[in-house]
Amino acid sequence: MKTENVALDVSDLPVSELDHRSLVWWGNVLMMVIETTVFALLVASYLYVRMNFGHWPPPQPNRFPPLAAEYPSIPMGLTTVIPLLISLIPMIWADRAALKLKANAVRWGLFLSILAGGVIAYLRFRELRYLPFDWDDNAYASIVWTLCGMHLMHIVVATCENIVMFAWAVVHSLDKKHARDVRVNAVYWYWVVGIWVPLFCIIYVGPRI
Amino acid sequence: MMRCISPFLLAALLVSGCASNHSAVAPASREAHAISSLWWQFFWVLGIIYILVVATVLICRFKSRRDRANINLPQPADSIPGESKTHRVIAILTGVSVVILLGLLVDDLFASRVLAPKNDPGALNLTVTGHQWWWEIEYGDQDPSKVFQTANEIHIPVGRTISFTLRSPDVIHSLWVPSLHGKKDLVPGHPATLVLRAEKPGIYWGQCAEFCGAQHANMGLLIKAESASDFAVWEDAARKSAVAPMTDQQKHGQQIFLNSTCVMCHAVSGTIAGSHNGPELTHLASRQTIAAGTLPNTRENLALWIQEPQLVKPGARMPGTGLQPNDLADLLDYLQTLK
Amino acid sequence: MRLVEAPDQTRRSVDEKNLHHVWSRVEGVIGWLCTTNHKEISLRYIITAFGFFCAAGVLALLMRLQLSVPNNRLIGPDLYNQLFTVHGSTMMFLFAVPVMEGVGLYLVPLMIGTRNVAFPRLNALGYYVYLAGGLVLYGGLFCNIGPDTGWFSYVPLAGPDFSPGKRVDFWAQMITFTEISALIAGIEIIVTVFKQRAPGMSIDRIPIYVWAVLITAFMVIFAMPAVMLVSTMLAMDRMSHVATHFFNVAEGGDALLYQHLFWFFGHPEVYIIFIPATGFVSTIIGTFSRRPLVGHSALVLSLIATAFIGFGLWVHHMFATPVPILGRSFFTGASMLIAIPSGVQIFCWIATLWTGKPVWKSPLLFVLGFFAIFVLGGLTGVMLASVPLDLQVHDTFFVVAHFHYVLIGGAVFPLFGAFHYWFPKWTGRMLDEGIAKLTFWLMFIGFNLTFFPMHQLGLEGMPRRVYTYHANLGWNGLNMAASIGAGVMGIAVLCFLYNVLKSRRSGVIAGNNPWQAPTLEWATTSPPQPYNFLYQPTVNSMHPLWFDRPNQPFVVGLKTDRREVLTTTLLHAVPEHIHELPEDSCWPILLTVVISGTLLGVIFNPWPFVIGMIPMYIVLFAWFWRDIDLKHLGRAK
Repeated sequence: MKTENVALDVSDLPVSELDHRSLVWWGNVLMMVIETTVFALLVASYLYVRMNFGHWPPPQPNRFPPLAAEYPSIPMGLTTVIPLLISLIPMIWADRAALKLKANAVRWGLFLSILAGGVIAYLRFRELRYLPFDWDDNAYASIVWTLCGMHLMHIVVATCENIVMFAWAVVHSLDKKHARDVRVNAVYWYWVVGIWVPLFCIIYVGPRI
Repeated sequence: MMRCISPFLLAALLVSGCASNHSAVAPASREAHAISSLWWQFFWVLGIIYILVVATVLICRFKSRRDRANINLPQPADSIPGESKTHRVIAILTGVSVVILLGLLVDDLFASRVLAPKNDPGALNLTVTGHQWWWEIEYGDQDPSKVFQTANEIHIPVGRTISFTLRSPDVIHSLWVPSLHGKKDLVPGHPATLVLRAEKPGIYWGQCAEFCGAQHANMGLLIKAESASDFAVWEDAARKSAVAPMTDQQKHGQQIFLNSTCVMCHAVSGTIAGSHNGPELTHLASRQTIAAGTLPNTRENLALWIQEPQLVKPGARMPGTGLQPNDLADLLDYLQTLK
Repeated sequence: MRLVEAPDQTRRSVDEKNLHHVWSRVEGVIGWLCTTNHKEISLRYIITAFGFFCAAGVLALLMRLQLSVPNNRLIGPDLYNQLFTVHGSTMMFLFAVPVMEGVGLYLVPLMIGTRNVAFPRLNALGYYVYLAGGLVLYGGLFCNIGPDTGWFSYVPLAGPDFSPGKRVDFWAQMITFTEISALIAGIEIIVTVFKQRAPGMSIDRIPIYVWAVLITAFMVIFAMPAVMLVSTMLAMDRMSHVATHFFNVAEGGDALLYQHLFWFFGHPEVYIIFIPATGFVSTIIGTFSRRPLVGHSALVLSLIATAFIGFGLWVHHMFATPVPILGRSFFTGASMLIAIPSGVQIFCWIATLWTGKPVWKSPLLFVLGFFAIFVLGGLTGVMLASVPLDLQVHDTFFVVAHFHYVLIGGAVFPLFGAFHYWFPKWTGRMLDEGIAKLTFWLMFIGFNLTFFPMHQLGLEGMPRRVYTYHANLGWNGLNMAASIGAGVMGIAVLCFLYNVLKSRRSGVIAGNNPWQAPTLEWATTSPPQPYNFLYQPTVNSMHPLWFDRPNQPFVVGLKTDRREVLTTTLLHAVPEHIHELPEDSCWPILLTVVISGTLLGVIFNPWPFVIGMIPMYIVLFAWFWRDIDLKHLGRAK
């Protein structure tokens, strides 16, 4: 090793960061990039497969009575979109509270977010049932179900992560590391909500244009 | 059959590798010629570049032969003399590369134009349907009564544009006869077009070139390019139904054919056998090969193929027949009348 | 943050002892399974990948044996189709990408001066999931239900109609395992390089190998999702209660959609394999030419350009399909364009050799082999960019020759160079130079004998993936030559294995920096301690061990009673905060068991996917909650 007689003392640097300076933040961002890429490829597949159909959405010969073409119902779609947007409120509250290390507010924010997540998951199940086609009807149906189903998986995963954070916040108090984790998960939730807006437009509004 | 390559050609093949009936550099059509010329242009340009690069590297290797025991201490890049000259050389070489690539690109565009499908009203329209593991060909015509099918062997007139429509009902195949053109995939759901004009008579060998399952290796194809008059003769004969069997053995053979599982898949026009699951056999005896180019068309090979198809093409959809030797002989007699 | 006097010898001994205690793993099997030391995990990646390389090599030898004579009855079509499918899948998914990841995960933390990767437990998970995926694939092969539709498994052949049974599902699930692993490795590299570089290692001082691996990691992030999606879509199409119709032509699905999605991944994949290898070449040339690389910035920009353009080439794998002609012209242009940044790199490397004072040791010999072989492959690649030429040679042995020239020449030769270069660092001993030279020549001659004739075979009409061929097509001699060459390559690999085993025991002791190389990994012991550096370094140049001033400060002030590393800012690497890394953990391997069970079950039925979520959640809950204290489970060192 080289012989030096000077050293850089870093002992006064902070031990944890609550924002983009933390490593977990970056890991989360990359994970969201990966998932966005998957959704983008699914949308590309949706548009590609559209070239194989004369009518869009395709007719439903398997139903009784057969349907010539029925658009997915926008009001049904909105029953998920609106609660998703509303669910941002408790999440932002928990996020801001975590920044200030306010344990109680974080607990409440997380609790409400978990409730919201559960309700939204249930609404998504309902939304899927109300789609006028099954996933194995045709290629269009397969892609739409996959888009909705994948997004449902993200709702469930994010809510489950919130449960872990909530459990910790209840059992222990809120230290910087776990406050950071709450904030990182909040960003994930913003993405879950945000990515659905363009997907909703493509699935529900797009065919009518 | 494979002996279509005359001994002379075979010897020439050994010497040059270029006089063959299945080589991209032994072109026999307008399109294959364009591709072959392009090939040689790319070959020489890129080949010279390769030699120059390797030579430069070898010069580096041998211009400083001594292994240094004392390793010199390196210097920072900005204090190495002549560094900017080195950068300039690299910039110039990069510029030269760009120019060469542009030249090759232009070359490529010109060749592509030759390959583009043209709307030729005098073209002969063939529809090729790829199956696991044989080729079905239908010769189109304005007059529906003149449309006919064949299998695994295509005849075309020299000097006339042939337009192939390519379809597949099962998996992806690829039609490839190297001396006549590049390949084109037969993709289910996406019909394709391949256009070529043969310029030299001959028999050209091709194979399926997209992996299509167990017997992809044995999905061969022959295209015979012949003069317009020869083609007309062939076409007339191909349109005709099968001749009726004459001798007792042949008649008995026909009976066997019509009463066994053969008719489940094979059609012979002029008889009640009309299934198109497998290759049609109306003019089987005129073909050079059987089983999609797997075996030369001889009596012994036919016998083997009929009795034990799984020995010839394991995985093929043709069941063995388990015929008695006498019956088999009669069947073969019949099949050999199907010219 | 301030400059202080360097610690004295007493202080250093105390720190060393504490670091040893904190960073070593617990002894015994449990400690071995639960390690989060990036070097141990990397060596496992490398050794496992090499094992798969040998397995795939054996499969290739069997294939060549079958093809050595026409109408051979040694191996029937069913087994042959499994052999080439598993050979290709192994080389691409179980060898090439994991070995590059493995070497990257070993070297990057050392080269940037930190103690471990950003997420050590995730790193362990990545390795175990990769291993599980490989075992799933080979399990299928050994039960004679290995996949048999080619390494890219086109539909409709691989769909439910034409490939009944579970063969293709084994392939699709192997993809899921290996892509999870690759994405994990990609995330590790990016976050580690972004946030954990040594103070002073600003963007313009990052070593070229680290650039290469970083750019590769970004490519992985964008490319791997495509193959994960397409294999999942295929699996769903094939699954009996799911029966989607993504690729079912009868229900509006599209066979070409599969190809687009696959090759959107597939083309960047080959650059994911090649770009780290260019990092090897750059590093080895730089070290042995005894000068900084000519055109460092040009090299970095070329890598970035290659990565970008590499995402715009994929349709050149589909030129023979009915895609629109105008579209094909665009991809011809892009495919030729990518030759330019590769050319720039070649010019810079040759210029470095020309203007330097090269020392011709074995790593550099393998780099020479790279030049001779990769450049030829790259030039046949320019040929393949042309649609007319591609239409003749696509799906023939010409293309087999091309991609083996670029992959073996462009990745395997540099990899062997890298093995010979970094083996001293990984093990503390030098490889034998004489055997290394023999390995090189056997590999070079064997490779060219095997693959050069294949160019001719392709032009002469021999398609790919054929288990036999007719005797009178003129292909016999060339096939026999190729098969002999394959045997020679096998001997070369055995030579290398012998060298490794012999040198581990009795090789010359290497010391810290046997090659007198410039980068930080050579500043510490060989092999490095579990904590990499006694004190994390700072740097003042791109070649710290050549050009840094003698009294360059190192970092003190981190605690030595727990695992701490320093994080720095993204652009200028200014110290920012202190990050605590977790202890060794049993959760990665437990999670792998759960994931493996779930994915294996999904091959047979869709329900394990849902049921498996429960144990997965339990393990992940525990992962985030707290780690089991292994030091009380096993004996601490």
